[in-house]
Amino acid sequence: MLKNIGKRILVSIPVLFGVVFIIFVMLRVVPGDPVANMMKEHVKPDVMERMREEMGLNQPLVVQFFRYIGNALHGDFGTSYKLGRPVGDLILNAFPKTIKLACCAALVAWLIGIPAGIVSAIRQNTILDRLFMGTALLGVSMPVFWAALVFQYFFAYKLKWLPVSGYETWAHMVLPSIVLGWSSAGTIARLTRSNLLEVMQEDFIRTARAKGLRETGVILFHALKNSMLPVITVMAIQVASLLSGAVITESIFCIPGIGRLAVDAISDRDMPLLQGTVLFTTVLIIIGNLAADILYSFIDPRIRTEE
Amino acid sequence: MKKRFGFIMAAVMTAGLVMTGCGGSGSQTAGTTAAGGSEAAQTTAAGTSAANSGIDTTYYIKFVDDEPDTTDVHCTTEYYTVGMNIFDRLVEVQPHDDGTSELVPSLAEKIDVSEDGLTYTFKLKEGVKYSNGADLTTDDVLYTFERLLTYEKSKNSDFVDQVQGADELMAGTADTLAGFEVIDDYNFKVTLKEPYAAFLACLSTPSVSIYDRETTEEAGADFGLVPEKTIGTGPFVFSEWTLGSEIVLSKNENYWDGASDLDGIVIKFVPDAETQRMMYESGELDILDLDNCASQMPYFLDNPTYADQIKSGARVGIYYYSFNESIEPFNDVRVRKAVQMAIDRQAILDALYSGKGQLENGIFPHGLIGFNTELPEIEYNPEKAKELLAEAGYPDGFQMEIAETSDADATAVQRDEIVQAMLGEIGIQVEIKQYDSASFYDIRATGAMPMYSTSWSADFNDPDNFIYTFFGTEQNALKRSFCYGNKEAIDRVAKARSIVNDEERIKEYQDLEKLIIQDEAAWIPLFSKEHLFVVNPRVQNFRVSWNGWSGNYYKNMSIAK
Repeated sequence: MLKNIGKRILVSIPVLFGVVFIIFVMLRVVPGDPVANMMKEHVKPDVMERMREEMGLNQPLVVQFFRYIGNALHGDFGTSYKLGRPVGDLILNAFPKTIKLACCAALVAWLIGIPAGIVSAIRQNTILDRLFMGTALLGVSMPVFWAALVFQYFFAYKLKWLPVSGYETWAHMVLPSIVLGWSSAGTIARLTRSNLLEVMQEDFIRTARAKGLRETGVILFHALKNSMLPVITVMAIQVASLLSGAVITESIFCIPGIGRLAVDAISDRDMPLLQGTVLFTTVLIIIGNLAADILYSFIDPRIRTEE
Repeated sequence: MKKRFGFIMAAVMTAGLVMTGCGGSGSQTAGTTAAGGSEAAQTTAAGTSAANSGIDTTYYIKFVDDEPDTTDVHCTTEYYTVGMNIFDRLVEVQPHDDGTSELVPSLAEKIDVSEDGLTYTFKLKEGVKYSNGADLTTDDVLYTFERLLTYEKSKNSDFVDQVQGADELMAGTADTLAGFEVIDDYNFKVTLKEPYAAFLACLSTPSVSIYDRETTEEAGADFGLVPEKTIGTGPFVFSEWTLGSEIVLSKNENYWDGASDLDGIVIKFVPDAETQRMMYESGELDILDLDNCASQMPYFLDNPTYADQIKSGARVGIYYYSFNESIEPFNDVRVRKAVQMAIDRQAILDALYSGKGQLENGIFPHGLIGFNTELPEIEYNPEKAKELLAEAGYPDGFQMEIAETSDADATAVQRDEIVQAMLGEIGIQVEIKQYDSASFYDIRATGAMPMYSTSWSADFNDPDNFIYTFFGTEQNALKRSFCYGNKEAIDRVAKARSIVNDEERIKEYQDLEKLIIQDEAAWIPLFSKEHLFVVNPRVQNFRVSWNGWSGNYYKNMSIAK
């Protein structure tokens, strides 16, 4: 088990290097001059030359790359062109806000998604099932930006129950969490339902029933556990992607998280910051997948014994 | 099952935190900026408390602006609102109700200019203190000049590089600024390389805010980023910067010119226009700058509820389309004139900006010193435009491209589309090509961009800030892809800077303006837009500052308590 985790971590090192290399080269191959972009209408040739020098942009690409790697290994991911602060600090500052949003959204998704999926499966083809699955479908198919604006309009602007935007208090988190959690909840509910239905046809369920177990027991202790494997994979990946920043939700509700940082970095051609956020996201996705793998072995003993 | 869900979350979160822990490098930039959101003030009433420090911001004016890269105005060319309000300049611009403005002494009490226009003798106000209690002295002014010229992050050396010895200091061949003579703590003399009439106007721009030598040097790279290290003499003190969220300025109780009636200001960073409108309507914002949410303009202008809340001021800035004279057929003046004439500028202003602005026919917009009321209007005459095209050998028109940045506001693209349709009427087929802004400015700097639209607003109140910026050197014209060919005119623009007699100088500028824009049709002036705000009635004494900087001075405003 531990050996396997160690192996996975080792494999992810070249992945990280590859990502750094690709993003580094790509950012510099695409046309566009970050200095010209910073100065915009204020074209001052002397000043621009000095800035280029200070930012190390007039060095050969190879030198720039190895300098970046060298510094990164020492924990220095460079200074944002646009914001003039260390990239590490900026990410560290934005991440707690993203974590807060991601956790709230994940909670919404799980607390709604899984029970809804179970109820729909048990009461298959009843009105309840249709209602839940309809709502789930709506959640999955509704664009986040639209849902965000509609929720903002009704609950914050018209009814004044909640603040329009911001992240400071828990009241601020309600709308963005629901908006973001809803679509994940939809996916989880549908997945839970279909897997549960499939498992319910298995022989061991019939055996459990034949033993005289109550239906609740059959579902919770036998069926659900065996149907959760794919759901957990999806949940882990969802959490990882939530943590790497929900760009639209963060923008509309003014939450200065990782997503907004990354998008601003792209539009400002802020290479150090963009490299930093991409690297960070990669690490999160790797960890998310690793976490899912570890969880499998907790839920499904067969995976453990295979090793 | 629940236990395991908890575990998933805990695992992913912990792992995430461990990784970010590794990412932290160097020193923490600001104690106040790094605090997590969850420990933030727990007040539930919207907008009554700053995000982190718990400052009671009930009577602070709240508005939205872009997040600055830094508040160190020596090092930015775009973000001045904070700097305008926490620092002071030697002179300031005082707007008048008729749209004109004048320079008034601020930190300088008295300024004498020698007859040859070369020497400026300043007397500083005595008793002016920085918010940390330090005294303002001439040494700080010297430090400010030197820092603008030599600090590696300075982007504004051009405002003081007219001072004698500036080039040597920048090149590193001199250690001191030769043209700056310290007489005593409150008196100093500045000698210029050659007469430069716009020099005082340059000193009024926010970028030439005066810094304290000691605190600024001590702060190093943190100056402008860390609130408590960013010290000025201004009417407000920099209290807080929550990255990505807001900046809070609080009133300077010991301000030398009397403390403001206003407790402070909160500048929020809200990218979404719709969100801004809802925040204004629910009372979370006191002032809405319609520049930042142009899409909401019709909503407010057409709604009678807001009629009394709309405030406007002239923006000393001009919108224009460029021509690249090195690209056929724009090398032919008849073609350029035809295109000028084929565009109905009033229609664009009406359609996109509710008519809130004025047509411009030259380089110097309304409100700028040197604005020429006699300048003939560039007529809209598609028939004549067609004739000119035929005369130039393009009876069936031609194909051309208008470049646009992808992050431009929606009205910029609509503007291009209207022009596309108008030029289509005289047979010119226009393709609108969008670039991301880094590519846009890169291509433009090579002199290869055929046409684009943009705007320029004043850094300081002098025609020099417009005409020299565009047509003062061949480089200036090339880097903006004008590739303007009249070298004689370029020389005249450069020479006009040093004309001592003001009347003569303005006359020369106006002649050049007519030559370049009207006779040679080097670009297409469009209009200047009014700067519109929606202001909550609780804000008193709201006034749009004279500026091209878009920011306002808040010292004289207040909130009804």
